[in-house]
Amino acid sequence: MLVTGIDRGAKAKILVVDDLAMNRELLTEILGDTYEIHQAENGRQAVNILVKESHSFACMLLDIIMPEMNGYEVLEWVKENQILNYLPVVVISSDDRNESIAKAFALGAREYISRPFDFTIVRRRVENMIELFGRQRNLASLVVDGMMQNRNTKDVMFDTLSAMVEFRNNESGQHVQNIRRITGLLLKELVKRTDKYALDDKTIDLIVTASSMHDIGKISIPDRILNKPGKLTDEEFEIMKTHTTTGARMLENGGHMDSTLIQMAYKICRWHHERWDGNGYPDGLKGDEIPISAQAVSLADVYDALTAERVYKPPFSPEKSLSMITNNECGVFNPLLIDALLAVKDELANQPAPNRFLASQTERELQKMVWQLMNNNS
Amino acid sequence: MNLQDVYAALGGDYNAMLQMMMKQERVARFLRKFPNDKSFAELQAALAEGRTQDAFRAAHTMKGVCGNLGLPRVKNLSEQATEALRGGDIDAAKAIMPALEAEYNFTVETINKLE
Repeated sequence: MLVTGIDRGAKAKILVVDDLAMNRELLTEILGDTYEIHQAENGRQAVNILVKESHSFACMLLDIIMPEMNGYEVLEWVKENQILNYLPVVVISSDDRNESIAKAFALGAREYISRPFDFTIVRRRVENMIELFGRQRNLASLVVDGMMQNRNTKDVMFDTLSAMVEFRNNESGQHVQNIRRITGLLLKELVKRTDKYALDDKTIDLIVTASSMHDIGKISIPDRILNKPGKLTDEEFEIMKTHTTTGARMLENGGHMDSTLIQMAYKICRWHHERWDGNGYPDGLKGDEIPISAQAVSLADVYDALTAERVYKPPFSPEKSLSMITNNECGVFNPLLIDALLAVKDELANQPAPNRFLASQTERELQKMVWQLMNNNS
Repeated sequence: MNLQDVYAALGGDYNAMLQMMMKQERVARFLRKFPNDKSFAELQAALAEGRTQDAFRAAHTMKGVCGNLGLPRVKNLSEQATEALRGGDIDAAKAIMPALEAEYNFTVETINKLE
């Protein structure tokens, strides 16, 4: 499942960059038994290869004096593109002047081998370099795997909990998936329109995960009210409203309020029925007193409820649902969020995007983070 | 001539080469590539046409090839040319050429005698 891991079943790949055919042949002779050798005749070719598949190489052997683009320029490019973090570069040159060696190291080379090649020494140095970096790579992979596992466990837990609620609520399991999807779409559209809310990708991810929990408080609502086909009486509606505070209290009593995810879920549970004009419940918050997470889930919840079939209503078309929302027939919402909803209406009509995509994106982000951490510490 | 004879004639250390490359067959195989290497011809042409940068790269390549193959005399001369050209001194490089050319030709002839 790793994006950057080296397949240990196959030979590790080495990129040999040298304008002189004889040097490439010698290095292939030295290392070809153990490694899969790929060749570039100058720096430009090397960069073209690295752009496409820098992650697939375990090591790069780099000559300095070459036409087109020399070794120093390749090192600079590799450093700028943060490839040095995971790809060790061994400079191989017949230039053994101290200033040249120092320059190569300053630019990020991990090792400097002078020609002529001693077969044993070159092989040993390259092996050591690859083993060292391989170990570091595997460590990064383990950390990321662990983190992903955690995230998935949480997702499974959240999804199971919300599925239980939906089951009792006679809703299809699709509701929670829809809420997640619509909430994500709304927030991503919102950040394009305003920087008023501190919403980076990680926060949006967090809100989307926490949104699964918005209705957990409903497990405390009696069946006769929860699944009543007709309109609720005032008294019944008052009881129904308590699912917000009950859900929040359940999370509070769970004893994990130090978790940012649970904090987020708390806000969403408690305030996803508040309205922009202060006419929502349970606390009558107004405007941006309502956390943006709860605002987004609230609008997603209303849109999904309108377009879905419920015991008390048929499904409405997307057009009808949008016009009901813009006419404030379901309460007043943040105008910026309404704009965002209208902007993503075509995407809303599409089939849900597979969750896998999100997972692999998060995974890539994590991998990058871990690499940066490890390199700062080394 | 066998490999030892060739290296002796060219002032090289065959045993050191064997130790570095680990196989006699391999030393011979790479040594035979020397006559086909184009860097000396490129060095001559670049000097004649005043292309200092190209001449520098050719001399540098030649030095590298000679180094790889353990040929000290021709390597030293190409190294002198390389250093002259690194500093842009094309006249100094040209002054080295007669000696380099003689040594280059002798090296090619000797390697061609390898059985």
